[in-house]
Amino acid sequence: ICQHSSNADSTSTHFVYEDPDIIPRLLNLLTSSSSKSTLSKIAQDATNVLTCTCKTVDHQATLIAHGIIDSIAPLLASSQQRHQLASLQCLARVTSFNRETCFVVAQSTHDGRHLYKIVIDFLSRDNIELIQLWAAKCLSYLHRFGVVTFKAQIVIKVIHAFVRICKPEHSVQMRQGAASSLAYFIEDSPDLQKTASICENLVKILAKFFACSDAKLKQSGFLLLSVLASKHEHLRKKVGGIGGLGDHLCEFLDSRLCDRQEAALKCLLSLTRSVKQLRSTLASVNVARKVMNLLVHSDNDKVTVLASAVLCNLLLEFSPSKQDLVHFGVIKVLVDLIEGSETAVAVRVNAIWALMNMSCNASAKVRQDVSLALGIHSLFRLLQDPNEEIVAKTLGLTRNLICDKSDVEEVIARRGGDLDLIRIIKSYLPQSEAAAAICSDVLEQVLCLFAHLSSTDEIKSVLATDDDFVGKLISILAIDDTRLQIPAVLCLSNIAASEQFSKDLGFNANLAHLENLGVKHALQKLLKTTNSVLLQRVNIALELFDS
Amino acid sequence: DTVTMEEEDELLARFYPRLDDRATSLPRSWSAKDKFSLISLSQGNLRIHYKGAGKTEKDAASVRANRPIPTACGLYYFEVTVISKGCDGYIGIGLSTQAVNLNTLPGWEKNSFGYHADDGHAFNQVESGQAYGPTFSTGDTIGCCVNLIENTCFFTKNGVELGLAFSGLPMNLFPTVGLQTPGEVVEANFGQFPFVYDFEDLLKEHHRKIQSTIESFPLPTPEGMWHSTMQKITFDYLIHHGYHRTADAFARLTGQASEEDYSSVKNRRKIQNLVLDGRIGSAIRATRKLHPGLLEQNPNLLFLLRCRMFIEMVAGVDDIDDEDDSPEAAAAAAAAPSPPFRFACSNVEAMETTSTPIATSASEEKNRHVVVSPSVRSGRNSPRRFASKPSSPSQRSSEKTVVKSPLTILGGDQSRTSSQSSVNGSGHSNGIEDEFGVEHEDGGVVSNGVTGDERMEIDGEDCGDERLGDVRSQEDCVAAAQRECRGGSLSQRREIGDGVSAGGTTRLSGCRKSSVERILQFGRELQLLNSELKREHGPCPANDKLLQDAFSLLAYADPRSCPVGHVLDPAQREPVADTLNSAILESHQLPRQPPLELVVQQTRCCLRLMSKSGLAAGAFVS
Repeated sequence: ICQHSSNADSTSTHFVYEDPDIIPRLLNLLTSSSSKSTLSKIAQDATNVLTCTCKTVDHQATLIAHGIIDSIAPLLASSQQRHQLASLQCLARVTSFNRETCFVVAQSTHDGRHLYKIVIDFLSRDNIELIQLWAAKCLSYLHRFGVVTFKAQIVIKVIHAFVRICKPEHSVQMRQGAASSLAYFIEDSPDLQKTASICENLVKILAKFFACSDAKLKQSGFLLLSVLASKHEHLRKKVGGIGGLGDHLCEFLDSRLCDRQEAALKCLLSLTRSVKQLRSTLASVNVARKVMNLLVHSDNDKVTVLASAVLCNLLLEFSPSKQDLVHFGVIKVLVDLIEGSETAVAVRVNAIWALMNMSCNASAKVRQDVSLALGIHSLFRLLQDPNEEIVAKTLGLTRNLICDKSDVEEVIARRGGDLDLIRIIKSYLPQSEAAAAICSDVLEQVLCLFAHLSSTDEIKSVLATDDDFVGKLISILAIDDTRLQIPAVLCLSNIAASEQFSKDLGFNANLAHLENLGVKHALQKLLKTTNSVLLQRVNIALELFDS
Repeated sequence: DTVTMEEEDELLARFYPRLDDRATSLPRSWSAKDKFSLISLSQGNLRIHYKGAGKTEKDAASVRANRPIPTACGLYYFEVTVISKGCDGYIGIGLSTQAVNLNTLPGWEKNSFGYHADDGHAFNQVESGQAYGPTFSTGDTIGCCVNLIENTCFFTKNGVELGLAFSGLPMNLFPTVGLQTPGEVVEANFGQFPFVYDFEDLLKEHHRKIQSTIESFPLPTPEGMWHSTMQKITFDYLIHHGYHRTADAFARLTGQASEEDYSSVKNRRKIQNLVLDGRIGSAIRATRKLHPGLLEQNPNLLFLLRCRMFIEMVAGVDDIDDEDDSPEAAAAAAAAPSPPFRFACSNVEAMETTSTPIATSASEEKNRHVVVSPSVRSGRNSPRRFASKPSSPSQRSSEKTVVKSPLTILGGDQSRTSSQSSVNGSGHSNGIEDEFGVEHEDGGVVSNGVTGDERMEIDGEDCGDERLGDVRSQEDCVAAAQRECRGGSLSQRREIGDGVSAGGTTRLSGCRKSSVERILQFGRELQLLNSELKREHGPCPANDKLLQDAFSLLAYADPRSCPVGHVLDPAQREPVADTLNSAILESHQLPRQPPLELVVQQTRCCLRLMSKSGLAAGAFVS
């Protein structure tokens, strides 16, 4: 059965769980024989069968329901190494990525002692490394699901065990297992990422993974590196410093296997968060084009989501890859994805995000290309998308596209588009202060866009006469969030100054009207702010009223 | 915060169990002399303060520990906590030899190695470091671990291993710390407090790895041959100590054959048991009968036995007259299935009735006031070994135990006797006549041609004493385990102990005058024997010491708590029994020491030699 279970067809051993008699009988072999030495091999084999056939969440639940924990506990407490190993492997399988089973294990006891404490003992270095590895794996699951809170020393021991086993003197399988498990263990904790990184100079140990021809080893190496480089800039530098890393990344991006593409993309995603890496390690190799190809050709959702995320970073203003990508036709690729009916939401968000990044402070030519490729109607449609993330990113994109007066005028020139745009984005202004605080991402973009738009006379005059709009801006000033206050103040001073240059008689009347609405009063309240940018804006606005 | 020396030792013993004198060989604090002038010490010379101007590198100041790291440690570890980083936190932690200039930070000069706080670099005898680990500052604890097997070093930060820092380290390195700017304060922990890093766990790993290297070491002989060699060694050990039933069972399983007759083995065991029971008189008698001429040819052995007999008399265990109705005998009879007294008596009877040549000696035995043999023959050797015995560590430790709880020990001894007879397993009333009969014939044939000089050479070996102590203590463990299995109740043992100790003191305080007189009489004869030996073989300090210790017992009202009280410890019978056993074997041209013990001795010598020659792997062999 164990041999069979490693076949390509992973369902071939499901029969073990389909017949309700088999599991209880296997478990019976564990308990009835664990005390007698002649039968101990049977107990070990039965444990291994349970381990290798347990492949789904349902299987895990079935084993727990049949009391597997009580059955393997005596084996775990046995003095025989092979029993300890078999039971640790089984325990790891039962608890892997499963909060419910982890919870049960966390509560279990054997001879009045918590089971997990027995597992902790196996971390001790007088045990062989294989036992340490599986003990550490079990503890990883319990730790990640928070069902047991371990002392700092235990957490360090788990990391130590994994790191030691990553060293070249151990077998490829053990190193691979240790690296993947460590990646999982530290994935959500920047602190533990830091600890792991200083442990025996982990990045140097991982560099040796790539001197080996084994692809699975490299794959686990990429996973662990991606976690290490995800949060800390100094670690991105260390990871990027691994010799030939770019080539190894390219090799994996060219692979036909999704797992490998995924591992390389994860690593790239972490590294592309660093300006330095974009300009050094990643600039020298042709990863950008490979990522774009994956985005176009892959039918694996995980791969396309990751590829589009990586592309977002590669298209940042300071990225040397940006020019190449534009040259390769990235705009069309992204627009096709945005408009494609099959595209996953996450990919669409990333694609809009990528356009937003590439049009930020971009040349007029690039902005024009993006505007033309996407088209004003698509833009308006996206602005009304039910998905908030899409709206936020599209607002950002719109803002980047119409970053100076000529852009705005161009938008307006097109068939009364101004009014459509204003109507759409006005709908995102909150009805109340409470609502404003909730969707601040979208609101920030909306306000910035209004600040932009209100720089043209035509739109100014439209907005200045809209009492409802002015009232909403006033209420936003009361929200204690400078990200919102700054664009709102900017917008108000634009409106207030609308007729200033025309020396029109209506000018003072306009100001008086705004003052009546409470604009001046609301601005004065902000004089107490500690944010210097905001204060400067407020002062400029108030000057208009005082002149 | 105060830690006594004992607690310190206990902690350090966990890390360096094979180190001979932990008290004098390990670094324990910073040296008050071996430091640069800009450094001051506090907190028992564990805390270091920088008190200079601290402007340039010229203001750097280092201090070394009071002793270098002993090679025999195998792995050595110490920690330094940064109490304050001061101005700039230019702190270097590491190692240096005695000759290195102290006006530097560790790592800048030849034979100097350091990990620096400000940049996290490792400085390997150069002024510019290499990227190594994270930086460190106030509140961080940095550890430095030296591997004396591979001559490498790594550091830890707050319990996390940072990986290899230096290799090819020289010998005789001192823990060293250097500071450079005002306000810098650090404090060291040389193992007298618990470490942040789990150093013990690392030691366990090395222990496991060395062990597995030994286990997987390729042997030059074919595997089967190695196996049979092991069996032979095991068998010889059982035969040597007279565990004939176990030996017999083992022989049947493995096909071993003894050179010695089983009955002879049994008899040796019985004589040993008599000694271990404190019935030295009976042991002498039995030896005379079974191995005529042995004691005459080994006058020093006889003297040793007599001295022990004297001690047992003082303890109230042995007496010149058989007293079956004595309280000790009754207690012993109740506790043990084979009361030694009865054994001795039936022994005498048997010999009286069976064979004529023994009749004379038997009658001599009956009147045991005449103990001094008139025909003491010459022999130049003296059992130096026993004079030096009490100074061996294992001996000392057992003395301590006795002082703390004499009752338990006495009781333990009593039960051990019974467990030993259970090892032999023979019904006493049954086997004795035959065995002694057979043995007697053998004894008539065997001549003792081995001179004592050879024995002295072996005894003079480094490890002889230690070996004895250890093997014995292992047997004690076995005996203790057996005692537990047999479920001997504590209260029973206590009773026996009380009886014996009470008997000893009453007698000495004069309640039974006749016995005191007998002891004194016996003592005079003993002194006479010593003078005779001296006359014939020249002065022998070892024998003088034996006699002096034995006689000193009489000077105290309660001999058990007197300065030489340790000689009363039943454990002291063991070397006597062993010497007698070896002499008997030697007289039959058999090795006086079993090969297993030789192997253990040789291994110990080898480990000691490794330690002396700077081969630190020996630290992880147990």
